[in-house]
Amino acid sequence: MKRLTKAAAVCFAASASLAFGGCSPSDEAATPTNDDSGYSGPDHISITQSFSMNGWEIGQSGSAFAGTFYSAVYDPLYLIDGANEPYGVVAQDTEISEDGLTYTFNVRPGVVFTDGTELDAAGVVTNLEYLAAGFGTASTYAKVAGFAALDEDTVEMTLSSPDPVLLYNMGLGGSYLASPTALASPDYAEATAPSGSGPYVFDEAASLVPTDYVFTRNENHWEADRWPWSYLEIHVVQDFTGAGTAQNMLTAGDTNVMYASWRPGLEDDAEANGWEMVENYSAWDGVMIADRAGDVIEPLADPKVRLALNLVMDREARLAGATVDPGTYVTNQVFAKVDPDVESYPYDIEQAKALLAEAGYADGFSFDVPAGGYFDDTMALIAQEWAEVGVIANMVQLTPDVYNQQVFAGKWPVFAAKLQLYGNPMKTVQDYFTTGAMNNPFDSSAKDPVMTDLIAQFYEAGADTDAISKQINEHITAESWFGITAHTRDLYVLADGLTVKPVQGLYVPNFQQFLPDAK
Amino acid sequence: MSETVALATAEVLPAVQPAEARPQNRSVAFRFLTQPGGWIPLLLVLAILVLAFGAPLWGLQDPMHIDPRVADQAPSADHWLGTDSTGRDLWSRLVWGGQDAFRGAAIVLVVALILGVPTGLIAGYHGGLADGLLGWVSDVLMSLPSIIILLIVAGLTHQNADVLMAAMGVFMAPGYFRLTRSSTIAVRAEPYIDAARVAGISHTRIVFVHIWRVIAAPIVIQTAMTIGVALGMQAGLQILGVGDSQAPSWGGMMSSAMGSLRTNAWLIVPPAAMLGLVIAAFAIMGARLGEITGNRSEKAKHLTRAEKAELAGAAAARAAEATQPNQDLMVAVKGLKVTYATAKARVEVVHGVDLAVRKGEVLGLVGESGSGKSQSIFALLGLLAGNGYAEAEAIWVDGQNVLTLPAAKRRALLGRTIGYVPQEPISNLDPMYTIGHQLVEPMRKVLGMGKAEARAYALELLARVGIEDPARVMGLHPHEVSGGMAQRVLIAGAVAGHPKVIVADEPTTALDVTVQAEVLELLRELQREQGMALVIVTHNFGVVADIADTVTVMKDGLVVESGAVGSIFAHAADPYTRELIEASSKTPSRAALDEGGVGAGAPAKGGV
Amino acid sequence: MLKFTVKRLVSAVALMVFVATGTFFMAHKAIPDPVANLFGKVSFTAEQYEAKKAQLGLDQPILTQFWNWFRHLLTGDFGTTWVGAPTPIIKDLAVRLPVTLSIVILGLAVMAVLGAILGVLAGIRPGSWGDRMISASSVVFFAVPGFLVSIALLWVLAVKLGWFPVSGYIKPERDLLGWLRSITLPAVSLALGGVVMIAVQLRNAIVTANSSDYVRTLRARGLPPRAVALHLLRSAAPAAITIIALMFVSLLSGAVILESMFNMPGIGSATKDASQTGNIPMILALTVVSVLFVVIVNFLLDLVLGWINPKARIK
Repeated sequence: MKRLTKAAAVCFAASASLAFGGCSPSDEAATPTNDDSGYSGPDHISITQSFSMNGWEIGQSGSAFAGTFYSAVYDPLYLIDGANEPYGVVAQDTEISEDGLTYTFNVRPGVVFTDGTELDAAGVVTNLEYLAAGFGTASTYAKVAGFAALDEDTVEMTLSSPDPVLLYNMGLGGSYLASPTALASPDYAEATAPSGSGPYVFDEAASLVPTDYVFTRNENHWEADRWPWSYLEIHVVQDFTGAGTAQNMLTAGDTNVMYASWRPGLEDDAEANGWEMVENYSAWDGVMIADRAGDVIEPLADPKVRLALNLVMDREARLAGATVDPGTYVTNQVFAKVDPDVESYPYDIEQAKALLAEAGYADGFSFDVPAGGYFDDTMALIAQEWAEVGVIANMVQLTPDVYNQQVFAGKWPVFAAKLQLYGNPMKTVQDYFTTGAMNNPFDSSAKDPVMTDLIAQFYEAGADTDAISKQINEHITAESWFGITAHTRDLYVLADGLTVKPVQGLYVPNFQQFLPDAK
Repeated sequence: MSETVALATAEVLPAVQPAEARPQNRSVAFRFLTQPGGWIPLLLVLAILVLAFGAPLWGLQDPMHIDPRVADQAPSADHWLGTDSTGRDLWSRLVWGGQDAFRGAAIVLVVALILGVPTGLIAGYHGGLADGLLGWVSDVLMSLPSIIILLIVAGLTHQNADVLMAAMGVFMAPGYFRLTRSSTIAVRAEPYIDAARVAGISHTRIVFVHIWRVIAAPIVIQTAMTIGVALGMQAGLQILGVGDSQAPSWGGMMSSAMGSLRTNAWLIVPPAAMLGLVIAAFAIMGARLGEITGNRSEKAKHLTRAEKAELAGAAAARAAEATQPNQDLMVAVKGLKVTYATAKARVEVVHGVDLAVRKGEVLGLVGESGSGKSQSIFALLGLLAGNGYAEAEAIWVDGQNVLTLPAAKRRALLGRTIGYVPQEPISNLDPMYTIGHQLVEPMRKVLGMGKAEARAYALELLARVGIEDPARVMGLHPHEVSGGMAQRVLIAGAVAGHPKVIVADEPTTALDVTVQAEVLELLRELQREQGMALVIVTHNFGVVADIADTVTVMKDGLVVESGAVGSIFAHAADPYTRELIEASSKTPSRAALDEGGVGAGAPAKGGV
Repeated sequence: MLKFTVKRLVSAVALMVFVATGTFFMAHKAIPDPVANLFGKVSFTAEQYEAKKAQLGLDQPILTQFWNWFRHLLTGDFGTTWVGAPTPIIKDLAVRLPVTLSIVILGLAVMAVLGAILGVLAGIRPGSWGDRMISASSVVFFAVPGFLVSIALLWVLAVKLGWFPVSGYIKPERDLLGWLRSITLPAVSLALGGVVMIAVQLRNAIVTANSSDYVRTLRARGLPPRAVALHLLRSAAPAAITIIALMFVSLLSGAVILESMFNMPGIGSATKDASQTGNIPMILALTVVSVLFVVIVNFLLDLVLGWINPKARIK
């Protein structure tokens, strides 16, 4: 009862200040029907996490970490559901042509931005053109030749070649919409506030960038009734000493969601406090043997050598420590859904030595690997294991920013990393094996005829991407393209009865995933 | 941190004064090694050094060996301090880490010494432009927050630890610079340096022989502090993530331990404790050395409150039995003994002295330096220094035995019944306040005057003591007036409360000859005007002849002779008294000497 | 007094200019190719590289870059940060400064007050047990770095006893008590070394003043002990104030480490982040601001010293 009255008051105030009538008494959608749907959870969400974001300009939103922020204040064309498939949000009735070169969708009505602009097809096209040129989102639209507004509410995307991953990428954060008016302004890149149309509005006054973000309800949202919370908060907490602050805040009731890594005693604490823990296997641990063609380190061209390197890694032993997450999943596959038909590498030093001898490297070889990023412990242990068969990896000290830049620019043939797992195998293929992809610094597929062929098949119209992905998985595992030790999980700890439906591929969930009726 | 090291030796630890700063190194080392504050930390540091640099010899586990199966284990037989979160042996890493720590500190030290000491020598010895320039650079370095600059340098050097340590050494150099410079300046000013120059000894030899002797000890002390601070800063940078995270180092160990503080809090203890221990050891060694080579009054003993209370009580008990003196005596002291407590023993400087002055009369208290006359005066006033105390049968002032009075009542006599004129005018005025303030404050606080009233009275007094333009002088600070003027001010202050007796401690000794007579005259006038008794301490019988009615002669803490001025002059009983009288009558005044064209070579005693 | 003030002002400005210039060239030398670093993981074309380079002004000769930067610096414009949300640095600093200042000022206050109390107590009771304890422990407290102290405090008070938060800064507007609790451990860690130093300095100055001639003369005028104490304090004050000035610099240095350890979003942790991400304008801004603070504090303390002690004005 209280909420209704409060909402009504807001409604009146809103209608007084905004030009359009989103709060006319006849419009029942304006007043939350939470009580009717039986929502009994908290009236806000307050999250602690350790990732900040780089600004509100939508062209950066390709990052896996900005999703939470953006999802509060922007409406996207597409999102990803719990089954890891894209679904339309602002884009409705999507149709794809048989040859996979034409995508058409309708723009849903009632999408209004905070500056009053209403969204139509032309506005969507403006956004898409901006995104196609945007820093972080350009790769999503790499294969799109053009956008057109067919009429007031129909948009057409024309591709130069088929891209099965297009909608997925758009749903992963590549299709957030900003007000076309704002986009046109030359200062837009430096925007300190989003001009979005989303279910919440960024409350700059109450926030303390870059550590505390507050979002208040947008009563005029076309789906306002679906959102039961009156405000959302994100607190960026860098926890130097291991989940101390975040958990204290959770226990104190200052927040009700915490993203954390596992630590001993977490389950006990959760049980004692009545928290729910939801896991999400978000990344893999190990090394990327990027130089599979031996461009820089000749021995690496031989799959026997790469296999040998994998055989000396004792994956099971890594779980032995008391402070290691017992939920860590031991595997050497890069696809999120581990294929039981694909072989795992055993731990076999003798076999490794034999393989190296066969390949002509009985005495081993040495090369440089980067250090100084955040993966030194991973690399050090692997280097120690490789040293047992004579393969010496010298760790060269860098700083974290240099590390990141250099490894993905193809400057290091082997490097330790913790890279994303995508629930949808299509995305894995695109991200790791296509030319120009982020995680493919040496463009290995182009140098491997089997892969070149598989990738070409993958991009044909009407391809059975699942089957092709499976074949790719078999091939790269047999050829030991990686030195993966395990899949690691993130934990979402939720209080007050909140729930979340995680998406593998997003480190931090969108707010849509917290909805009681989340897809 | 580094900025304050620069201050450490110069200001915190006692300064070494050149003239006496020639402790034989043998005895310094000996004294250092025999004190627990000396040999214990030294032994500790040496043990750790041996442990660290002998690491390959001890059969330690491989400090780099990762083994996840034994990660985060508590101390055990295999791993004496347990393991860290990658399974590496903590004890081994701790020992090997010592090499990294000391190596870094050594680099810092060498750079700081090389940069700081020679520049300090140049700046102190030659002064002028070199000094100005070098001093400015030193100030700049000291006002920079070094950590920030070092973080930038770390990026520049691609995390090369040696270069980073050298950069840290640059920030530590000002400490040595200031130290060397001030010692050099002090030595430079010594007369024997000028003598050496006159004798033709070269600059270099002067520097290396004379100056070195003086700065050696402070440099050693500064080094102890610098090493401690360098170790701390090095660890601090490592905690921030600078440098190789895999190689064993105390800071690196702490950095990774911070991340496991909640899951394995033990991890941070060994490196933190080790670092703290080593830094503390160096600090203590530095402090002990400072004490040994310093010669300030740190050695002076201070009587604690308890001790003082006890002594006062005993004195009061004894004094309660004393008999009343003659009624017309203003001041009567019987059997006064004064003792000082030093570090080693108690030394009695006045061995039982009787003094007396009648109301309205003048007593001359005569004696040479060390006779105990000033001590007797202070005892009478109740103003002995912290480690001194007085015992007497009685001290009568205006009919009261002050020894039986409670402290507050005794204090109340000062400024009202008794006035005091000190010897050295400028140092007896508070340099931080104006003359007017110092005159007026006791008038308001002790005599209870109002602000305007006190000011008017002060002006009146200043005029009375012969100061022209009193209003201007009121606003001046002590260092802005001459000695004679300051003494007049002090006299004004002494008589302000209309005291019944004035005690003047060699009031003219520190003044120019021409001013002496004036001030004496002033005292005599005031004494007659107000009918005060006057006790005037002096070493000059001439002064006694001038104004005293009675005279008491002291030597070595005892009264030699006492009596009316006339009779003493006519026929002194004691030979010492006769000597003193002879000396002062035969010593012409400066003015007379000048007239006679006599220079510095004339004999002081005996005939002209 | 005026001449004194002007002289100090000129010297302060000269120092600022020198430091700003030196840091600029040093930072650019330290990070030769900031553009590539900023792209990070995202691949880029040559055109995007050139475009970004031009956007950041890095395509111009170094002296032009310096002049532009310096020119803007004089108007208080530090430029835009290269990493993270493209906010003007001055805005970021405005948010971060209160955090650092909270810690440093609280640290200074604790240091000054505790140091003064201990110093005065020791000074008026020289030779007592308390006095000797303070003198003996002074050197150790002074040399041990602040972060070691904070580790010890953290371990006992935060992790084991839970009286204080392990990390994090709470804005005073949100929760005043929480704010105080969050800044206590870092501030106390910073202050501890200085407390003892100030105590010792003050104690020595009081003991010296106590046995000085003019204090004896004041007592001879009958001045009550309380009034004499004021004289003692005034003569001892310069020593304490000098130490405070010096400690401020070291507090700022210490804050860099402590902020990172305690996860406080102040300028100290910003320095660490900026130097690890090659964010040159941020590095420069932080250095300039830090030195500016030091210079301001020293300048003010110099003025106070000159006011208290007229003799110092001559120097």
